[in-house]
Amino acid sequence: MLIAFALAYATCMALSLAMTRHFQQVWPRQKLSPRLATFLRNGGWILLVLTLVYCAKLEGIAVGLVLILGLFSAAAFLLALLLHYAPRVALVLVFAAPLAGLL
Amino acid sequence: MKNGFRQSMSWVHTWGGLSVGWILFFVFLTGTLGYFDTEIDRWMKPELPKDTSTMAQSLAVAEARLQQKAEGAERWFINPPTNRDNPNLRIFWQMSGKDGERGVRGNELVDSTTGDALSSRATGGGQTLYQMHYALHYLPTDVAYWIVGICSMFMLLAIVTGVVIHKKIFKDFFTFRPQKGQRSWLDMHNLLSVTALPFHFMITYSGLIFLAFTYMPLIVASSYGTGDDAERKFFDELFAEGNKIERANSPANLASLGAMVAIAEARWGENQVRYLDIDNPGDANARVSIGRQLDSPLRASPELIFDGVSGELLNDKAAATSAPRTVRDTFLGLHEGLFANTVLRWLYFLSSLLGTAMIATGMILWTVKRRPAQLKKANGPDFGHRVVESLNLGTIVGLPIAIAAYFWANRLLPLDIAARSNWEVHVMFLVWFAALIYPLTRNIMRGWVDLLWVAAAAYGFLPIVNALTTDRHLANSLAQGDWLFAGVDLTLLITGTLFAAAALKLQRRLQQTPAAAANSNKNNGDNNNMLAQKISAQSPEAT
Repeated sequence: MLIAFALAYATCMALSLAMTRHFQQVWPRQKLSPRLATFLRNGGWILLVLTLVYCAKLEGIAVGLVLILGLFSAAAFLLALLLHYAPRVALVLVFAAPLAGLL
Repeated sequence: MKNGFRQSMSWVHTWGGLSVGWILFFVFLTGTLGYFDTEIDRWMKPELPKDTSTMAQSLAVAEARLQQKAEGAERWFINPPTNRDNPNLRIFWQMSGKDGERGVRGNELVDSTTGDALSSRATGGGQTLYQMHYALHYLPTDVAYWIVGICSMFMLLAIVTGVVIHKKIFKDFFTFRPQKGQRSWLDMHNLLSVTALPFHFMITYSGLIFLAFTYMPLIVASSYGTGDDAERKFFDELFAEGNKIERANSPANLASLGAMVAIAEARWGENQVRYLDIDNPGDANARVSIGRQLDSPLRASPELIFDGVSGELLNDKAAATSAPRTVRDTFLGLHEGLFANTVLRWLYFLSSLLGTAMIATGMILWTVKRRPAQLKKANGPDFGHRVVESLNLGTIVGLPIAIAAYFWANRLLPLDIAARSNWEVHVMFLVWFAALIYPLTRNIMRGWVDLLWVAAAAYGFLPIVNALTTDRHLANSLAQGDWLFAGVDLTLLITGTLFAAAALKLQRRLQQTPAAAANSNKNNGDNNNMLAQKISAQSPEAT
């Protein structure tokens, strides 16, 4: 379940970092290159599909769909607050969450 | 009405939202708590023990108790304590009636170790709170359904128009910029709405489906006619319980329920039996239906049907029946979330809180937008503006305080007063009424600080009240690993802490800019900032 959340969160992170506004919340001094933006956006969509597959495997397609919507609500809301109040924590969580899920 | 499509949609969104916002806030908040109705029930009945019996024990106890209470009944029903909805063994019976009349019914909770009936204090529990979200209170059910229905239709309208008028729904998906006054309120309102948009739409639409028979009676009337009889016939046919078997009227012993449950568990897995439904117990034509736990939004379980005398497995019934019924049940099942495990239940709870906060921020946004112009007026803000501001405060902070008061009443009202469970609710509404009046007597910003502190105390001290009045307090429940009681106490503590944090933050802001506190014509921006700060801390705490 934690892995499912980690996947949803990573999806949100990739999709948000592909936008200059959020990229500069995490790295204020750096510029988002168009290539990196494309990479992050495509990566985000791939992660989205992975999350969907994982949730469907975990709970079956019916409940999996309910689960993924709930996870994305939680992940996106949390990320939006973190990006403003604690951008470093937002970044660390991308790596910490899957680790915690695997342990 | 203004010109232009987006402007007119914006007008509908603003005024449609405002006109029903307070009732919607009530519906959303009490509905949110409904996702933990059983947990609140259990917290409010601290006398009930935690059931730790095995399946075999509870079956034996249930059968003995039913034999004693309802021999020769038409129907027995057993809920073993195998899921969150039934933390204790529950039995139900219905005696056979004469001449087509329905027989006497009864039900009780049973202690599966001693076999005695369990009793607890008279309380409305989480169920009363949850029922308020569609039946309100103090009103005839039909009237309440119509009020809630009309408000829900406005909600649906607000959701659709909200999506239309949101110009940059994808670009602003993750955007929140605090300390920018009105901008921040709009950001937060958008964030709350967009991140849980599928939930908001699903919950509102399926809520309307629940009561579609009330809102669209003519569709039934076109085939069945009008009047009470026609209506009864329609519901009898719609919710018919399949082919019931007639009594043989020759006595025969019931086969071993344990053996049937063993067959079911072999197919489904351990603890997968949700109920046993026994028709004609003690008769030669006894039938036993064993239902599985809910694991999908379908609202129905697969069932195994046994011959009650030979114990032979007769039939394996799938959960789904007809297609239209399945569509309806799926929407209702999604709304109720009874199938949800612990994690999904918390996600439901969280999404629903986001919805509650969405309504709150929308209503605050209405006042924040108009406050600068209102404060410039020679005689101060208009009466109407003042009323909206007061209703906002009295509802957004006042209702949570009232709900805390309901919890206090559960612990503190004498156990032997008449109509005790009604008084719990009276206490809740009296407190809410006081919270609605209070803002009219005080400067609005000071009023926010005061009521936020009251809410912090009301929630923060509840675990202490629990500790003083019962032995199932936090220290004990943590030591015993009783996560239900610990969970409720901890959630109350966290809620209190969040209210306190919000109060403190707003108070500091007011002290930094005393002019704003005096409601002067300056520093309007700061006024708005304070509220923006507050909601950013407040969003998860609307419990």
